[in-house]
Amino acid sequence: MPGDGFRASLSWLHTWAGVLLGGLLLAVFWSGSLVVFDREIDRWMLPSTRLGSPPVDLSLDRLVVPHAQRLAGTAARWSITLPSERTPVIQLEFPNAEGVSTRRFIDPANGELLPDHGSWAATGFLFPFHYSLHLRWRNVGYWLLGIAGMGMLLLLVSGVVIHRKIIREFFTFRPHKSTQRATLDLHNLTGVVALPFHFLISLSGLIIFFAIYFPTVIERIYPRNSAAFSTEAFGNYTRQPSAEPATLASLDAMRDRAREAWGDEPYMLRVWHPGDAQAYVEVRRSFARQVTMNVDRMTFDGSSGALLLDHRTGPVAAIQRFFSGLHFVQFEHWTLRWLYFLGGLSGWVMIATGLLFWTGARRARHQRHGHTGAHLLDAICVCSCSGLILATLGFFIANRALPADLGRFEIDRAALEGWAFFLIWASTLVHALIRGAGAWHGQLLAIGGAAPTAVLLNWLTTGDHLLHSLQQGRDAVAGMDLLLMLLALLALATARRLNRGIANG
Amino acid sequence: MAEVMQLGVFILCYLAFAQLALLQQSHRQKVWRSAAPAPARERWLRRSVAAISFAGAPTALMTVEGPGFAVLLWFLLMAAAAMAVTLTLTWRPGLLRWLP
Repeated sequence: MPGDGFRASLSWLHTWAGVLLGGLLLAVFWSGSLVVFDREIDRWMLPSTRLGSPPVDLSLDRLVVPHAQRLAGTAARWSITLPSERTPVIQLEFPNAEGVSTRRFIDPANGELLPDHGSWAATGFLFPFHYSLHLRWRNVGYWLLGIAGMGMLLLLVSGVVIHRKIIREFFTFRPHKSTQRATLDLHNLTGVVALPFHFLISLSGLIIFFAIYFPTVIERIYPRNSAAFSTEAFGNYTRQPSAEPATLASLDAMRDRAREAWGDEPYMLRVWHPGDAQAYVEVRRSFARQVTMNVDRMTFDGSSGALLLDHRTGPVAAIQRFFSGLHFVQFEHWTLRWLYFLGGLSGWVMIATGLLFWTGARRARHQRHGHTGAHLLDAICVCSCSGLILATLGFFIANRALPADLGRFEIDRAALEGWAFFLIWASTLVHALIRGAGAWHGQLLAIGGAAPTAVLLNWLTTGDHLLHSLQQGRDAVAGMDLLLMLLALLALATARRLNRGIANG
Repeated sequence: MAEVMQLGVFILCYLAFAQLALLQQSHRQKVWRSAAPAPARERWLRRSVAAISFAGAPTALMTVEGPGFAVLLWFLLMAAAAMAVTLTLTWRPGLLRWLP
């Protein structure tokens, strides 16, 4: 129970919110740090998309529309995402015959349809894991993430209040003192130094899903017509198909008209009811050069190409979209991208060291009294740290090791990659439950072996070893290989240090 | 140009945090071994330099990056600089002796 006084109450809150939400927050911060580089991981996982810079101008009518009409068939919509600095391919997305969202990539230089790798890669798997944990039933994942985000804000505020020497120990890290002391120092250091980042990233995560967490706000303002909200805030345009056939007007002309009106590039075009006389085309403006993910969009008649709606981001929507942009990092800014990656990892270290400090302070006492609390939390901590890293590496290894033609046997290759992730993650939990804190050493060694294996498999299956990637200007692939090697070195060094610590008692 | 400015701002923030760290007795001892507490004039000077550096950083960034990116870069570069000062004090405190 909390002691007397404000600080004691907050200390109690900080401890238990951390213990209960720590595992979940570790998963969110780890995946969040990775998806900062989701497009680069995509290049590694989808080798045929490792292309050079896309041409400055390209014809959608000539290169993409024939593929879309052939592949999407009678689908109610299909979307084209244009190539960019980070994604050198055209992405075509449509619901397949079963209604499942499907994407294919097109070479923007010649319009060639690239082979389907059967992988969700980072944008299709790690990114949704970050915001929903792949728990779609009744939005459970979103709600868990909402609780975690709210909990993180509480943890940050309470952490600042209960830290008695926040100024005096601002620049303090004592790795040569006891393990507990060093762990707490690292927890305080990462927590205080990156506090504004952690606060803003948690707050913006909540703001993104405001419509799920606070639906009554929309219901109150737009009673009986929530579609009006989407129209006013985001410029959504809808109309029903007429069942009368019609040919699609030039997408190039619509793109050029939007480009002229904005003085900026579009990033996506979506065709609704293709082939129908009531078809319409949504052209969305890029946000590569600004933090705010604007919702500027122009909607054109699909048959005549006439402008139906020109929506510009309103002032209130712009605030929400600023926070969304701050969280999504869709802008093209490499310094910020790396700083976000490091900031995310510092949050991960902060949460992990908080959990480690809690278990370290109680492990011996709990063992003496036969309590399982510290053992259980040790297992959760191992599984959420080294276990999650191993699961991610298993996902990468499965991507490179599974045969490319599994589709012939009606096996969903992409789903197998996902299963590899979750099965490995579950087995690390079992391992940690059996071995307790002793599982750290084994799992760190496994990371030390798995990361170079992924690099080696990339070389064997694509011919892109590190030097070759660098020579060919494939920075995303080279960066991924280098970070995997760095991860292996860090894991092995930590395992060695743990071993030495155990040997020294 | 933008990258040079970002590096400059990181160095500016590093120097500002180092000035603040050198006001703290425990860090002064690490840097100069047996250091006396900072005299009032030195304290005032170090704080002023830090304040000017912290204020100058976003102003400089604003001119090159625009307000949105400048604000994000400012607090992330400050975090990176504070971490760098801490790691310097942990493993190479003597390096800060070179600071004025």
